[in-house]
Amino acid sequence: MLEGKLVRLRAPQRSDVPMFVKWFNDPETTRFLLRQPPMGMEEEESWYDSLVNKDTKVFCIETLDGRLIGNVGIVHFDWTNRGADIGIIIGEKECWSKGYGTEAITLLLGYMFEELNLERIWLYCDMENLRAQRCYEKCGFRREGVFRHHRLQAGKFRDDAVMSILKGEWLARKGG
Amino acid sequence: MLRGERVGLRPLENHDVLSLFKWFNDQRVLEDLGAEHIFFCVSLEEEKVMVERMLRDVRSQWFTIIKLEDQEPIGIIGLVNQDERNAAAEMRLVIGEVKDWGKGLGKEAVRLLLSFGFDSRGLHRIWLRVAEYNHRAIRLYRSCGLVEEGRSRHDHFHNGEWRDAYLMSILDTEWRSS
Repeated sequence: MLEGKLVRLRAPQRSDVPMFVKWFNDPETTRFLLRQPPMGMEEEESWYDSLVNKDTKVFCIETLDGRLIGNVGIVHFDWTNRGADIGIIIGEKECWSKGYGTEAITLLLGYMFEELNLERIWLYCDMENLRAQRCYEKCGFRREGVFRHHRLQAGKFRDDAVMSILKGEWLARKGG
Repeated sequence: MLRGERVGLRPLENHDVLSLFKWFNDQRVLEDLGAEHIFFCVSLEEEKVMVERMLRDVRSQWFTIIKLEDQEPIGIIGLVNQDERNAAAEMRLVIGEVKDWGKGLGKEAVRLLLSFGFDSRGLHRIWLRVAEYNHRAIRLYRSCGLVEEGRSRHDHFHNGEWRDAYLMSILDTEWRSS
């Protein structure tokens, strides 16, 4: 458990799966997601089961009063090069733009830089998802490039912004 | 079961996973375990895999520490990395129930385990690794007769920096003369 002022990160549990299904089947929520909907209960259950054997770490984001509002996770680790990429979804729409995602990512970055000793944390994000890019910038990420026509979605190739934050930048922000 | 005055050690069982799940998601418990490299936010399913691995490992023997008055599990203790040829083993200890900290229960569990290791298993040497900042544990181990024999430099990364771990050990002769 990792707790901030608004949210905490906790382990996922099987009983969360119906919430995941709800989120991943809402077109408004999944509009910018890199993972393609729709997702059924069985698919989601088997994804949950597969986490045990995967080098992926998923954390549930809940508000301090215990309400599950989204997930944040480390998608791949590159231990040799001390890098990792992350992803996030705030599934509860009325919780958008309240700073929950920003705090969840900040908590995770602290853990990844200060406990896991990583050097570079990166992500990619739909170029049109400006809300998310603002959030990542608030967390200290910088855009370093664009993957052009990186994903096919709804019949159209979409561009993704590549964003990253380095350990030195994280420490400088913390000190400042 | 190995019985002391207030605690007992019984073999770890698969059904203990619920307790381990609770303990290993408690930041207060994890804080001092730096040397163990445990991820926070371990799911129940991941914990199940961990317990199965602990039970399957032939070189380790794990016990659940229970309070004798109500049989409530409060932690785990074990001998791992057992080296039969040299009659040595590494000890691991976690008291997961924070409400039971500071009552001397861990000390009793360690003494039960040392007695088991030396008097029943015929070990010659029991050693452990402990994070340099885990003062509570270091005090406990010293009070059970373990001595610092070395330092594992930059043993693990914690709170933004490399931290050392102490190596501590006790020999059978020291155990018998105490």
